[in-house]
Amino acid sequence: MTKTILPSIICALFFLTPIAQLNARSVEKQSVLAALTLNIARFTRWPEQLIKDTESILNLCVFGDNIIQQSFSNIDHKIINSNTIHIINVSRLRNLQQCQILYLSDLERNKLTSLLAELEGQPILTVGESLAFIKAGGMIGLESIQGKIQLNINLAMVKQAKLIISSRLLKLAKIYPPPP
Amino acid sequence: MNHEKRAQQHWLILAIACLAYAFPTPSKSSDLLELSVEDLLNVEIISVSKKAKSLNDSPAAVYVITQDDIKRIGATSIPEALRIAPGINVARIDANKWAVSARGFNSRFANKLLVLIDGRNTYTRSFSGVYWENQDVMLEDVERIEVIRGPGATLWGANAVNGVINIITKHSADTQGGLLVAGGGTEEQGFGAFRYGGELNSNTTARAYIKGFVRDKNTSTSANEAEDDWNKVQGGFRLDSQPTTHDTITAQGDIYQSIIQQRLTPPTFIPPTYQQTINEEIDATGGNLLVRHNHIFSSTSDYSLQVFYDYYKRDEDFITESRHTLDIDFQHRFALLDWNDLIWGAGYRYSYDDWQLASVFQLDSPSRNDQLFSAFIQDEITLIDESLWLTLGSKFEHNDYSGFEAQPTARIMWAPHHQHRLWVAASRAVRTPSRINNGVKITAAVFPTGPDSVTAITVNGSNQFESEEVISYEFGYRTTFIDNLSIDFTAFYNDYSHLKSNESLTGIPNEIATVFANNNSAQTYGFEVATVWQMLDWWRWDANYSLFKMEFDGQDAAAETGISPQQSVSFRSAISPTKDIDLDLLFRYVGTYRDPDINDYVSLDIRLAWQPIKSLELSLAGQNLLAEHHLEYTNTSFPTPIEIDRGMYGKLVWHF
Repeated sequence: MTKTILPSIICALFFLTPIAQLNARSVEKQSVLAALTLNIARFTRWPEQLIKDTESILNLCVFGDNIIQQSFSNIDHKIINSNTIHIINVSRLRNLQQCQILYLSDLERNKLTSLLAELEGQPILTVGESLAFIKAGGMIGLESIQGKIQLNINLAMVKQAKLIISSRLLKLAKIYPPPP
Repeated sequence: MNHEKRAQQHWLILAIACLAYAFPTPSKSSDLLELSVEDLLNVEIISVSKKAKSLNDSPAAVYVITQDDIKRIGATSIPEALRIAPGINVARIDANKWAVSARGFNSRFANKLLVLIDGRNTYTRSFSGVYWENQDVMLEDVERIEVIRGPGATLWGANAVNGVINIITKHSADTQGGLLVAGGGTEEQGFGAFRYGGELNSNTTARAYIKGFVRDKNTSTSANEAEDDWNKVQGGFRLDSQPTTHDTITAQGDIYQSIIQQRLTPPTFIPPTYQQTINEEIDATGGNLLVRHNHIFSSTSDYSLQVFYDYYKRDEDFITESRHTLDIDFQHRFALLDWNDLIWGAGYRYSYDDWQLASVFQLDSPSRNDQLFSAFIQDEITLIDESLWLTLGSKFEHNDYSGFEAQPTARIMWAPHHQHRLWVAASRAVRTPSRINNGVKITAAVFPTGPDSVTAITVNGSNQFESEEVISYEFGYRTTFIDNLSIDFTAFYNDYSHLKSNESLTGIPNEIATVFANNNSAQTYGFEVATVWQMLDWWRWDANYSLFKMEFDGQDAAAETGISPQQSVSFRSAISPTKDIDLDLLFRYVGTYRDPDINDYVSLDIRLAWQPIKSLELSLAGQNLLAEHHLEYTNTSFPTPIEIDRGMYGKLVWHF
């Protein structure tokens, strides 16, 4: 009988937990980040000729661990604005010129700064996971604050790269540096 | 019988109910793709399951202890934090001494594990190991501890025979503001820490800290109380600057002083007992300063230059030892032809020591200069893009004791799918001779053999002593094939040769002498499993199991074989029933070793923490709760074994 006591206590603990925990429709962060990136791509215009050259394929390069890779694999081959999303994992950060979008998760601070400096002015939409990311020269920072994602956009960097982000998206975003 | 069956059924139903509850309907990512940006920005997100799902991409047995792990197990020192890593044996000798080793060969003077703190090698040439009581950091500022089992010599250098422990502290930009830690209890009698971080200019951040503690005596197996209490004060800083987008400079340093009590019973040449009991106070002081410059050419090319100086002094009544170490390291990484990632480096280390010796502990010279030159090259070759990699490399070094050493490795990593990783490795590594191996004369016992004569039993070092060597074969598999569950399996076979042996030395009058030689060999094998299950977003389980077997060829087999436990288990539950409460349980089993001296034992640690406001955490921790005191280790140098006491402490952490 004593054998069943411990599991019973453990199980009882489950059921005693607040019901609110059950009802909250919480979603894994990485899946939301991938879905958001897809939507951001939908509201972004690249210099026209560039997309033509790549024959309606939008290369979305992903740097991150297996969790990030897995969540982005769910948006592979999705079609937005008649362009097909093509996911490329770039674990060694090579051949970045092929990317229209570059998603960077968890890159060391100093590598990030110099990489973003290197990409400055190129028509690559850079997406990261923090406010620090756009302060370091990135374009989109998807920061988690108190269980929700906040959209931060570094408009200066976007303009420099001659990308156009729809005003609908800009309205939802916190613009950096803050407009006077 | 019937009753038992019903109980089993009862359990089964509960288990199914539990599992059903544990796997709630997963939110489909396809649903998410239907949502608008507005909706996505309003979705409640969870981000706790990272540890249960992320797979390490290194072709090595890596286990990462995060800041959250350190906090939640209530660890108060680095060795205590290492207890949760599989394949690592941490035995507490007394309040101020630990024996820490990976995959066997554990001892107070364990010499096959390399320990680095922010790139600073904490190894001492004195015994080719680590004085754990000298190594400390502000635990709240640790970002992670990477525990790598198996040879890591190619990148890290000699003495990474069975593993590398890499302690990495946070960037100073991540430790801005103030932090105050205060607490106390029965064994951890009192501790406190204060850190403050600030921004010096737009591209420079820094922090400084001071910490201290007083730890109580444990229980001696013969007397009532062991004389092993100690206290320590340590302070330090870290500064990170990014003068240009391509350059970063890190400067950091620490300074410490500790007063350590210990009881020794060394032999003497004084009749009638020829043995003395010393209750002594060790004054251990030290400090270090490290500067690192990192320059990035591009995303695939960078170099770093690191210089550190380290000093320590142990002032004992019995012997005094001090050591200065200066180390320079250069590393350059670059990509070649799209499918090669090359990293090469060179290093130089200078070490100077100074001893005050005792009649029963002599060295060939009271002080010595040592130099070490090293170079390494490693190439990671992409065989199939994003799925198959081959790593080849070797370290080459020259030291003043054993001369030239080469330590090559070959590793293959295969990622057939983003939920699976397989790797195999073959490596050679060496443990280079220590100062003690090379020229010590220890008198282990003295006894009278006549009215005017005594005979001494002595252990002698030898300048003929060479490096100990291992050829290691490893295999690993990591998977997250079930959502929120990760399994990391590693198996190894190690073939050791030229292990230290004690050969009898004849011809010395009035001595029964032995001398160090390299005539032993051993084979070890075993496996380690580490699993993490994020059962619910607020409840995580960690379970680790390690099996270790050794076959020892040589006359010291009896003494050497049982030096590490064959089995160990750790089982952890981390619960956060509400946002402001954490409940943590850590259960450990450590198998019998040094049979029959040290019995197997179980231990349980519990921690309960409450965060009434975001910036304040109050916690209560109980350590080693299952027994009033238990024995973890015995050592011939410290003849009275000391049992580790049960302890409780309360702690306050305030961020401001």
